[in-house]
Amino acid sequence: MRIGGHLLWAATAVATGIIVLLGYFVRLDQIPPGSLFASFFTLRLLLMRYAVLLAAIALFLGLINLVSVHWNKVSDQQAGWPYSAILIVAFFLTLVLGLVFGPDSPVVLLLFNYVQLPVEASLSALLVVSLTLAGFRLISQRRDLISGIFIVTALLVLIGSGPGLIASSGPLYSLFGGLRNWLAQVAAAGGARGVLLGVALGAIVTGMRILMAVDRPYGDR
Amino acid sequence: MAEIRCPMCSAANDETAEVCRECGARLTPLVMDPSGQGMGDEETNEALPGESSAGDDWLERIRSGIGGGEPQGAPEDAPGPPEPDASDAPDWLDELPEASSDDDSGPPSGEIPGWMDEFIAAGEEEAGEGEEVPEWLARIRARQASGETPQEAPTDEGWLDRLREEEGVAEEAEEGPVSEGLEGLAPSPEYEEEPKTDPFSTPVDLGPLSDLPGVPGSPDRALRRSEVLRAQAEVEATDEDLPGDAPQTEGEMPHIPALMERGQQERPVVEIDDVSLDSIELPDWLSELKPEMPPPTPEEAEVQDKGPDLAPATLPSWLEAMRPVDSLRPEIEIEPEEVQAVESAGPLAGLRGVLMAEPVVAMPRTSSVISSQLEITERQYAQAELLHRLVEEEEKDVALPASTGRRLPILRWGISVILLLALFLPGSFERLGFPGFSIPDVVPRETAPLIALIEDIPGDKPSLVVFDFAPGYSGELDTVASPLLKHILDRSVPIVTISTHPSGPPLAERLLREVRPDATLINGAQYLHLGYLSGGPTAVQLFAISPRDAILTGFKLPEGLDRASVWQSPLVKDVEWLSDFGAVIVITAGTETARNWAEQTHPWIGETPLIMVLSAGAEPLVRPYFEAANQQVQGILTGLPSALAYQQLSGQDLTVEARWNGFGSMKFAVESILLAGGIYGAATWFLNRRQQGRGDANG
Repeated sequence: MRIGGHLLWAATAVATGIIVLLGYFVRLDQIPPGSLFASFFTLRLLLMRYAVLLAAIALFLGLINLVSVHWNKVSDQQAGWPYSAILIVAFFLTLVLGLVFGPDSPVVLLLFNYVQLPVEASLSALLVVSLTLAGFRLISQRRDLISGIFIVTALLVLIGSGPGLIASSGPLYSLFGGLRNWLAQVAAAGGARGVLLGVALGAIVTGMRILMAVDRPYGDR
Repeated sequence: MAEIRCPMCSAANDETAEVCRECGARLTPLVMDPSGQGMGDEETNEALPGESSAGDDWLERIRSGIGGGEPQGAPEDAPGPPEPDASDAPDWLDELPEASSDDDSGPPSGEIPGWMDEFIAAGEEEAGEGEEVPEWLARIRARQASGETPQEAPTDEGWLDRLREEEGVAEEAEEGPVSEGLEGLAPSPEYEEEPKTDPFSTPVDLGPLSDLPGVPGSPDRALRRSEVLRAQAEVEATDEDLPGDAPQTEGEMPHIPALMERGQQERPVVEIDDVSLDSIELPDWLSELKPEMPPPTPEEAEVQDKGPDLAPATLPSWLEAMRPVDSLRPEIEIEPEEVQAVESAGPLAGLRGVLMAEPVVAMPRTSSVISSQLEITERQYAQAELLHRLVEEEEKDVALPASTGRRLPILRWGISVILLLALFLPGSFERLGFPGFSIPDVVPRETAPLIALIEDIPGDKPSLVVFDFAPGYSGELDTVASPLLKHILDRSVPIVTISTHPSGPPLAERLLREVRPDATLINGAQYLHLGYLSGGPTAVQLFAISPRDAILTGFKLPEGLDRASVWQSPLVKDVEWLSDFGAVIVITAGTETARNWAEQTHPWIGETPLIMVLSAGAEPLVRPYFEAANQQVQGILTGLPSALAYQQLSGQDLTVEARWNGFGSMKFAVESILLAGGIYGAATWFLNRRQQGRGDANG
C-alpha cells in the first residue's frame, strides 16, 4: 500500500509538471477552441489556479504564525514584548479597518500614506548612514586588498553616477562615467549573468529530477 | 557334644561357639556385660595390637580357619574371652543387675528379647523334628554323618572353602617377593605401623550400591561382597608377582600397574579389549551393574581429555596487517533462529538466518580493541597542547575591564552630522551663491531607444504597469519612473496597473497622482488598477497565459465595476492575452521580481515590449536580459541620471532637477567620508610600517 501511495503521488506530480511544462512550447492563441489541446490547456490553467490558491493559503498561515509568535512573546513577557504588542495591535487594527472599509478606502490609504510609507522610506534612508559608516570603518581599520578593492569600486561607481566630488559634466565626468558604466554593465553584469546561468541550470536539473520522480519532495525523499 | 545351629546358614556349631563357623554369624545374643566389654566396645573400639577381645577372637578364628584351609572345628582351642574386670566397669554399670557369667549356657532367659525366643524355639523344634528339614540341610547332615568335610564337598555349598583357599593364595602372594620394579617403593614407616585391618571383616562402603535392594545386611550379600574384594586383591597380588617387563601370557587378564616408576611413564599402555574384560568373572549382582556402554579406549579418553587436535589458523603477514582490527567488532552476536529475520528480497528470499550484510558491515560499532598507548607525532602533540591551552584560557574567568565611562560614538555622530548637513545644504545653495550641481551631459545609451519604444506604443492598447516595490524604495523609484509614466500619459496611452506586492496598488495610485495631479486623470478612463496579484511566480505566469483567469482584487475601481466585472472596463475589454497590452512596464527594486516577470512572461508576451524601471542596485542583474541577443527586456531605465536624461531627451520639464542637488550633495558627503576613511587607513598603515621599521632597526 505504501509503495502504491508513493507511486500515486509521483505520478500526480510528474503529470502536473509535464502538463505545465508543455504549455511553454505551445502558442495558446493558435489552438482551435473546443479541441483536445484546448481542453488540455484548460486543465493546465486549473492546476495553476490551484497553485495560486495554495500560495494564498500559505500567506494566510504565515500571518497566523506571525501573530502567534508575537502573542507568545507578549504572554511570556519576553525581551522586547512591547514591540510585539504594538505589532499585534497594528495588525488587528489594519485588519479590521481593511475588512470593514476595504483596502482602498480613504482610512486605510491614510494609514498607508502617513504611517507605512514614511516609516519604510525612513528605514531605507537609514541605510545610507549605515553603509557609509561601515565603509569608513572598513577602509580605515581593515586594511587589506579586498577591502581596498571594495572601497575603490564603490567610490568609482559613486563618482561616475552623478555629481559629487567632481562635476557631472566635462571630460573627467565622462571618464568616471565610462568607468562606472563598465563596472556596472560589464563586470557586474558578467557576474550577474553567471549567477543567472547557474540558477537556470539548477532550476533545469531540479525540474528534471522532479519530473522523473527522482526527487520527491512531496513524499519520502 | 550338643550342637547349635546357626540361624543364618543352619550350620551345626558347637554349643559353646559364639559365632557360626561357617558364616560368622553370632550364635549367642549379645548381652550387656557388667565388666564393661559390651557390644559397643567391640564394634567401636579398634583392638590394639597385642590385645584380645571378643571381636578379635571370632575374627581370628575365621582368619585362622581361612589361612589353614580348615574349618575351625574346635572352639575350645580358641582363647576365651578375657574375664571382665569388675573394677574397670563404670559406676553406672554396677547398678545394673548382675548377669550370669556362664556364657556357654547362653544369656539369661530373662534378658533375651521376645523375638529371639521365637527363633530359638523354632530352632529347637527344627532340631527335634526331622520330618521338616529342608533338602539342602538334609544333604549337609548326610555329609556330616558320612564324615566328609564341607570343603571337600564338590557341591555348591563349598564355595566358602574355595574362597578360603583363594584367600590363602592371596596371603601368600602378599608375603611373596617384591618385583624388581617395585623395589624402590618400600612402604613408609607410617604405612607399616598402620594396623592391618581385614578388608573382608571391615564394612565396605558401597556408596550408591548400598541403596540397591538386598545388598547390605544378609550374609550372602556380605560373602559376595567379600568375594569381589578378594578377586580384586587377587588380581593385585598377581600383578605384584609379575615382573615389570614380563610378557603377558595369553589368556591372562591385561595388567595395568597401579604404581609406576618415573622412568616408566612412557610405558606403552596395554590395550584392554572387550573380550578380556568380559572374561572376568563377576558376581551376578555386579554384572548387572556393568555399564551398558563400553568404556572408552585409551585413545578416545586421551582425545576427550585434550580436545580436538586442531592446529591454530595462521594468517599471512600481509593479510594480518590488513586486518581491520579497530573497525570490526570481534564478536558478532548471532541471534537464535527464531529471532532472525526472514530474507525478503533477492534469490534468498524466504530463507531464515541469512547473513545480513548491513548489520555486519554497515552498522556502526565500537572498537573493542583499546590501544593502551596512543602513538602521536611531536607536531600532533604540540597541536594538542595548543588546543588544550586554548580551552583552558576559555574556561578562565576574565576580569571585566575597568569602567572608563560611557564613550560617545564620535565617529557615528560625526558621520550623521555630515549627512544631515548634506541633506539640508541644497536648500541654501541660492543663499550661498552656489549655482548647484550641473546637469550631466552624458546620456545613457539605452535612454534614447527607450524613448523611441514608448513613442511606438499604440494608443489604443493599454500599457500594463507593474508596481512591484516596497514603500521604502518609493523615493528612488518614483523619481525614476515618473518621467516614463508622464510620457505615456502624455501620449494618452491608458495605464493598467497591477502589483505582486500588497502595497503596490496604493503606491501606483499615489505615483499617478503625482505625475498627473490635475483632474484630467480619470480613473477608469486613463488608468485602471487591477490590484494585488497574489501567488508569486505562478500567479505571474497565470496572468501572462490568461490575464482574465488570474485572481485579482482590484483597487479603487471606478463606479460600476467590481472584482468580478473589472475586465468589463473599456480599458481592458479587448485584452485576452498578455500580448494584447501595448507595453508591459515593470517598476521594481528587487532582482527576483524583475527576473520573474522577464522569465514567466516571455513565452506569451509576443511582440509587446517589456520595459524595466529599476533601482540602481537591481540594474546589474537585469541588464543581461536587456543586452542579450534575443532580448527579453526591450527597455531599461535605472537611476536618477537616466531619469534626468529621459526628461531631457523627451522634452519634459526637468522636475527631477529639484532632487538633483540633494542627490549631488549626499553623494558628495558619502564620497568624502569614504575618501577620508581611505586616507586615514593608508596613513595609519604607513605610520605603523614606519614605526615597525624603526623598531626593527633599533633591535
